[in-house]
Amino acid sequence: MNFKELLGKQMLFFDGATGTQLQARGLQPGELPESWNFLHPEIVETVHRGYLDVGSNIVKSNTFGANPIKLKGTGLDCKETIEAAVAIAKKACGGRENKFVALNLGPTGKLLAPYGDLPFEEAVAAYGEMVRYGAAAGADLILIETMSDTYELKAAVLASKENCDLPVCVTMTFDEDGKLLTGATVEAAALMCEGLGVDAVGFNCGLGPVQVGKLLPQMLAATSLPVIINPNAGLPVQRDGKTCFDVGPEEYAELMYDLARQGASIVGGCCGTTPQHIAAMIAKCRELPPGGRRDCRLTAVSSYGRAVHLGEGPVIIGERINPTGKKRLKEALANNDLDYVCRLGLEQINSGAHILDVNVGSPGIDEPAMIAKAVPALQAITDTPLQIDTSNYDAMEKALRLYNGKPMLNSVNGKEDSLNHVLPLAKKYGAVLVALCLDDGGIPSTAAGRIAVADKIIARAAAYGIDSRNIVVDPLALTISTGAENAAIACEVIRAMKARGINTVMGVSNISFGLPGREAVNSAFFTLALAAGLSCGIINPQSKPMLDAFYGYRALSGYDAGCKEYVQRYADAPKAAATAVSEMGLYDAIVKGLQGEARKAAAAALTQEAPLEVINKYMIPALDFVGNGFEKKTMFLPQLLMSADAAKAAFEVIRDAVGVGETQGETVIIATVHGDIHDIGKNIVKVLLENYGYRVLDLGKDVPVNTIVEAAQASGAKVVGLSALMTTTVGAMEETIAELRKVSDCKVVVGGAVLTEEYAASIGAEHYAPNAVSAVNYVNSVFGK
Amino acid sequence: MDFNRREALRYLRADMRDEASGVLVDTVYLKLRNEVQARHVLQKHRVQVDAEGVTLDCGVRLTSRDLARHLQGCGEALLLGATLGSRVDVAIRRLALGSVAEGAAAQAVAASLIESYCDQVQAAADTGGLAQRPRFSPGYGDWDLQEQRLLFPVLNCAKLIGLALTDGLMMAPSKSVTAIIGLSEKTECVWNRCMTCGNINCPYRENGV
Repeated sequence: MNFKELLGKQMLFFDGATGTQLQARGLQPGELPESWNFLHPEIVETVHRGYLDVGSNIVKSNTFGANPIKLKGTGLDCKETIEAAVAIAKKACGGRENKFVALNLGPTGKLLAPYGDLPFEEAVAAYGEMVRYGAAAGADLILIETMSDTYELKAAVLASKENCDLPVCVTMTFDEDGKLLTGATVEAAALMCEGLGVDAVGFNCGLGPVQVGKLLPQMLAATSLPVIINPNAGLPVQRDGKTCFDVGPEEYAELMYDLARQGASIVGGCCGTTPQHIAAMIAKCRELPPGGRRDCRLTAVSSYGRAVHLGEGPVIIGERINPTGKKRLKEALANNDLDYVCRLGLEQINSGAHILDVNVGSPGIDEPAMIAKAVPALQAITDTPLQIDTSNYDAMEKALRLYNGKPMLNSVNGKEDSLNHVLPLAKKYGAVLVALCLDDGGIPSTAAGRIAVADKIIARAAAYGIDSRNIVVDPLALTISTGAENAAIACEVIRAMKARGINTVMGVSNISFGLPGREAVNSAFFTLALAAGLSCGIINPQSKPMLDAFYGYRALSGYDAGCKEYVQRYADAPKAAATAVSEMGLYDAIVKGLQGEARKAAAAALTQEAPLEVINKYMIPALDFVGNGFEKKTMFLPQLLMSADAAKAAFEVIRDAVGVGETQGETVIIATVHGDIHDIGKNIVKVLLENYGYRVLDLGKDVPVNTIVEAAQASGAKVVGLSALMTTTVGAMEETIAELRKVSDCKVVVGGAVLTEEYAASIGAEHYAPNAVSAVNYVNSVFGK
Repeated sequence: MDFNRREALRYLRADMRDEASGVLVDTVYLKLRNEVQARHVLQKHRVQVDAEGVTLDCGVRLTSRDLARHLQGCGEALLLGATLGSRVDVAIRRLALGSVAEGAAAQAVAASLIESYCDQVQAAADTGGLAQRPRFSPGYGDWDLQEQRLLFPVLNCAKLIGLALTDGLMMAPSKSVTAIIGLSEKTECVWNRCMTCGNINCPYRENGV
């Protein structure tokens, strides 16, 4: 039988530590274990045999670090290393029955962007290479192990699935609190793995059996997948400068027996375990029935950090990242202003959204390209799960791929084209899928008609292997202004789905389309839908009536035990906004750095004066005053920044009133140069420039030379600002300036901790800005301000 | 871990007497502290020091006269890798998006926290009764940042604490420290960390003691 056939039928056994064994045979600290595939193949084979002979079914090939990214500069070749390692492991198995070679894929040793500098697709490509060589060399399964970052893990799983048909096992390294190094909980990580279609999931390294035992129930509850447990021989202890593991074979066997009994399907060992540990463990556990698959009925989405459950109390999905009818967002998308998109996200999270809907489709926008920027940008600032909302299949796949977790996908419908395109994507990327109750015949006018469409989608999804627990039905709220029965139909569909254990989701505010005073109807309908059993409401979480309905319902329905949430929210709520009128002028509010006051003062000033007048009469002089104070050292950095925040808040009020275009002047490009990922200084300059009314094209951090050159050419910007923090990256700054000179006569202003005036001049910059104010003053001087 | 408010204000380049700045760093500390997932790896090595640099017992050679001066007379040293984790970076971005003041304060608070964390780790270290000299890191004095590439494999930072090095030699997560700490019978003098650094124009340079 092959590995997949045996999995769940009988208890299976991994080997133990490879590194520990090689060290015992002379591998030096710092020496690459993979080099021994060439230097001492017979020793590697002996280590494998040591485990196979005592009953291990699976040996891990000596390829943990054979990733092309990690091998770079070591003199070892990825293909040769993997071929050699798999051949050694196969030789050790010697054709014996029920002995398998797992191609071992460890971490790349790099942190993926945006936290580090390894692009997601490069990680996928690197793992893909390993998988192709390993599969061709005859590995029986893939083991992705010692993973501590869900994003890197996702890259490895996709690479495995896309490059071979072998079974894929995943084991991750959690800390004692049950978190990965990048913060994921056991549940969030397990949900993602199951979604991506791995065959078994579990723990390895980091912890001993005792600590893994505390986390095991979380894993068993989060996934139906067979569970793997490969712990260390206890927690590491430092003794005489050496790392030791103190749990001996007999104790290890006892502890592992306890864990295996709870429902594991494969057990083995990691650092510090020896053939004696594995032999004792196998003797204890051999007769245990394997846990196999369990019937987990959990419906949940996850981010890289945490999971949100559906169907265990209503959930709010924030609807505001959707350009339909939103001029500001359309402008922001057209200008590539992802900060604005992220701010919309943050505002909703702060108001109580559990999931954020992300829709960036708008005429004139390259939706696949835009969503491929928006999803990573949002992931870089929050661990709130995202709902990918698009009808563009290309955009859908891009977003699903880049999403770091188990996504929610909005949506599929009953049309053939949609079913054929969306279902395979939802399956591949493990999405919780929103199913709209419409098909080629349109939206059925009866509840029964819509339920029939939902049933059809659920059946078709099942044919792709998508479980109904991963389908969330949208009954579609049509406006009551054209049909009085529309609210009742939607609620009936929700009730019918609830009765079958299917979750539901709905864009609530459609119900009042065409009516005045929409919030009254929306909030009442929201309450009705929640009472009917709605699992997720797609709403504006900044609408007070909607949140009142939500929290009121939770208190009434028993979801809010002891009305704790409700009391917390409403007990100390201010009776009414004391006064909407600022006591303070806009100039003073900005100088003093008071955001709230600045907002009110800007609104008040706009009732009296034209927007440009407000900017020129109050805002610019206030910014000048603070900037001068900072330069003269009578004001300090925090004061400068707080005034910048206040001016920005005032600017937002003005832009909301008259639009972005009206208030935007000359274009300035800013970027942190290639190789540099520190951008705090650049971001401060950006805010200050925007406050002075410039249109700032912020190209971000780690920006390649040609991206900056192309942007300068395309925009015709007269000024380009470059920042570099490190001695190692000022070279990229010099190169960028040299390339800019070839195509543009723009002025270049540079800044960053390691720069000096002399150095800036030597690399050809027009101006060296020791601080943000100096950069802004220079830009003003270029434009004669 | 302890929050050293004064250090945070210094990193923020604030006026120590300014009440608003104090409120700012306190607010930001409260928003940041639950994002901290601090980890470290600490090793003790025998070291050989000569005029040009230091050789670790595992054979790794570190080349820097300033480092050599710093470890003069030490037969042993601690090697430290520490990080606050990538969630702190996410939180700093998040705060900066809503307010540049909070973003800058978050950088300053996190910088002070990683220093406090290192102090705490060092305080608990078993030095066999020897005194610890101040931390010395790649990039200090004439110690080339390139030598991070030598320290990272020895410390096994990526696997053990999730700390990686970018191609541009930046640490990711950003709020991280790698350092060597000399161990000797007694400290010859009280070193101020900034006073051992050649970058005399550094805006964060502390006054000597």
